Amino acid sequence: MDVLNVEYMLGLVPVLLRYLPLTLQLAGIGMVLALFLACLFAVVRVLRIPVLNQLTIVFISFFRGTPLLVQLFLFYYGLPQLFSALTVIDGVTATVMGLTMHFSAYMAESIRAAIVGVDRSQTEAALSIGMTNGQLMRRIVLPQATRVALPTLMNYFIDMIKATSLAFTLGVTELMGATQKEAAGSFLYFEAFIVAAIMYWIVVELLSKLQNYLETRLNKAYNR
Amino acid sequence: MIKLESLSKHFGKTVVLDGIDLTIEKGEIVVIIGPSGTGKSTLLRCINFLEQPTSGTMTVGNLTVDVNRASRGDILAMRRQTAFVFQNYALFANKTALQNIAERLLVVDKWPKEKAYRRAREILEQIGLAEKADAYPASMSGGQQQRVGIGRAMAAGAEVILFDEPTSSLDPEWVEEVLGLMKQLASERQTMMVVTHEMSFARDVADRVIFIDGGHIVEQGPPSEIFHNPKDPRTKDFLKKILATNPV
Amino acid sequence: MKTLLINTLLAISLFASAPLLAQDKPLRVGMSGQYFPFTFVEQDELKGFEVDVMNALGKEMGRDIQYETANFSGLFGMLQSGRIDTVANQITITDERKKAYIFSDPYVYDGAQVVTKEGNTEVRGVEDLKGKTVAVNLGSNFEALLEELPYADQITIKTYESNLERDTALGRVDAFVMDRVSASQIIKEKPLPLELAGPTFSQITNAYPFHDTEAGRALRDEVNKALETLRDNGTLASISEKWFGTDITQP
Ligand SMILES: Nc1ncnc2c1ncn2[C@@H]1O[C@H](COP(=O)(O)OP(=O)(O)OP(=O)(O)O)[C@@H](O)[C@H]1O
Ligand SMILES: [Mg+2]
Repeated sequence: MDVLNVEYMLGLVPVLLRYLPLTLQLAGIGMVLALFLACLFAVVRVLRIPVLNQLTIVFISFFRGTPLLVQLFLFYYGLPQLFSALTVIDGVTATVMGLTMHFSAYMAESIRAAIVGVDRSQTEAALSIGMTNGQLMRRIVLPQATRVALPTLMNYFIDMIKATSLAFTLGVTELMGATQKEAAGSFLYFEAFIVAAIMYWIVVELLSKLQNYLETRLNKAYNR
Repeated sequence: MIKLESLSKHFGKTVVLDGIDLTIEKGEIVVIIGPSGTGKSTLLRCINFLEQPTSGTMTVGNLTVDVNRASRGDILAMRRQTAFVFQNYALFANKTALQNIAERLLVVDKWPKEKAYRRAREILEQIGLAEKADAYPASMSGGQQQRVGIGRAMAAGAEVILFDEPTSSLDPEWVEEVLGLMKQLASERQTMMVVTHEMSFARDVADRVIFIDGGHIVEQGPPSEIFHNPKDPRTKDFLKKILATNPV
Repeated sequence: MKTLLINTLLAISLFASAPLLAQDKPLRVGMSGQYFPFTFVEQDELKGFEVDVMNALGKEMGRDIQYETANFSGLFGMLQSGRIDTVANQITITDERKKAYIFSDPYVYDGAQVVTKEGNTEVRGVEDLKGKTVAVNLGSNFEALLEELPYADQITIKTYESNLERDTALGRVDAFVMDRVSASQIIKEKPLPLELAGPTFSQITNAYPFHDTEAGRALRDEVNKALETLRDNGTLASISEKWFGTDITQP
């Protein structure tokens, strides 16, 4: 393999592009669910809601303390072994479940830190004018915490996109699985993986652009 | 009208407020003075339920609650009747001056948007910051921020505005504009309870000065009486010290 | 989200009605798609010896074949959890696997082969692997074969998900062990500097694993019958000739 087989690479682009939507779908749905779960966990932790707080601590500890691949195997292969009805969990569902749980554990901690970081006197000011705890969270604390947490959350999202490549182990052919199979057929590993790498890269670059845009918007209130 | 009956606050074993009885008439301007750590802030915070009082009864306007039986609804209602101005302004950093003032009208009083912002603009006019409507707290001076803080308290239409050392965090150059605004409010007979070390404000504006020490009201009366003819040795002592550093 | 939900509901209803549909359901077959020339992909099309044999079996049995591809390390999990009916990925019959599954008749007879980088004079056969680093595919039984050697403790075994032939060509490992047929196929067709080192050192037979249940046994019997027909009418031999230039389906 002295020369890069450009013709092969170009031919591979439309083939691999067919699998990109699934990769984005896995990460996109995973991210939305993980964010939702992480916000719940963070609020439970901040308000120290009894029982739930302890459960959340154990949950976070487990899903941060074990590899994502192990979790995926547990959901996909382990659960059906215990309850045969759970064979209905297909690879896509198991992947989304795994990504959601795994990343929500990480994100909960950074959201919690961001919430705690919001100036306590603003909380008192909001309560002093008669806001409920819910209004306080929605209108004052979470918008400010979002700004602080955004860069970290974006990093997790990018991590999650790359982590979708584990889905092929559960029989889900996404971008990485398709690339591995094509490479096995052609033995042009370098060419195949460089095409896939560039696709991931472009997606992540676009996300970084989005992040810059959001950060500028959210920072509007803090420029002197 | 505000009426506190046997209001007490303990932090663990520490008794900070020890059975305070106090009545304030509508339109009255009350200044509270006293040494550091005697519970002045705690008193204001209890009235606003930022601290849960340990025992006693509070009446604000036509709302009376036994602090131990206060439901969530009672607490929210009491907070709506009592606006708070903080030493460090505590403006919402993610909201403009206009939004800071309109926030409670929109969220707590559920006014329609247009009406809330119209009222907020009126208040900005009154506090002389109309041109800062769209400015965020981070871009305003301390004096301007505290005026917005007062504007936020005014929007409430509360029975009483509670001021906890509103000028103590300010650079000297901004103190006058804030005191000026408070005087303006006083002249409109807005009921106010003010904790401050600004003795000139107490002398010129207050209807009544209350001296607190050790969780008790030690002495109270019109400023002329308290400043020129204090009866309790603790009041004398305190005034001597404070007037030495803060001459009237 | 919505499609996920629909998928799940669909899966539940399928599951509920599964026993009724057993006869008409397609045979679900797992493979890695990464084992040239048995199973691989070209321009999004799944191909290879395994695919051809399985398609012929399907035709003979009058069943549709539904292919599920996954990394090799996931295939037995999918079989175990009932997501596929069998695996078509050169699964070697071993005692260990026989404890968990039942096997069809073998359809490939092969041997383990040592492969080195071209011009490697040190490793000329299995007996030269002493003190060397040897690559095998993760989950394949070549690791077990190597560990049966008397000098197994002097061999460093490295397991790969894929790409072990590349690492051998790059000199990252001293050799890899794979079945003779696909090893010679790789050397013949692909631009990698590799060569066979010595004769095969252990005969292996490959077959389809099934669950040891009533349904699994029925499927196995069905497959065995079709295999026999294809063997007798020469279909198996001609598929083998097409891919390997030799008949690997006979002992
Ligand atoms: N959350 C709390 N927990 C325990 N003790 C507290 C708490 N808040 C206040 N205290 C104590 O209560 C006492 C009264 O505090 P407070 O802040 O009301 O005093 P103050 O009169 O406002 O003093 P200063 O003039 O310094 O502001 C102090 O001794 C203080 O340490
Ligand atoms: Mg104080």
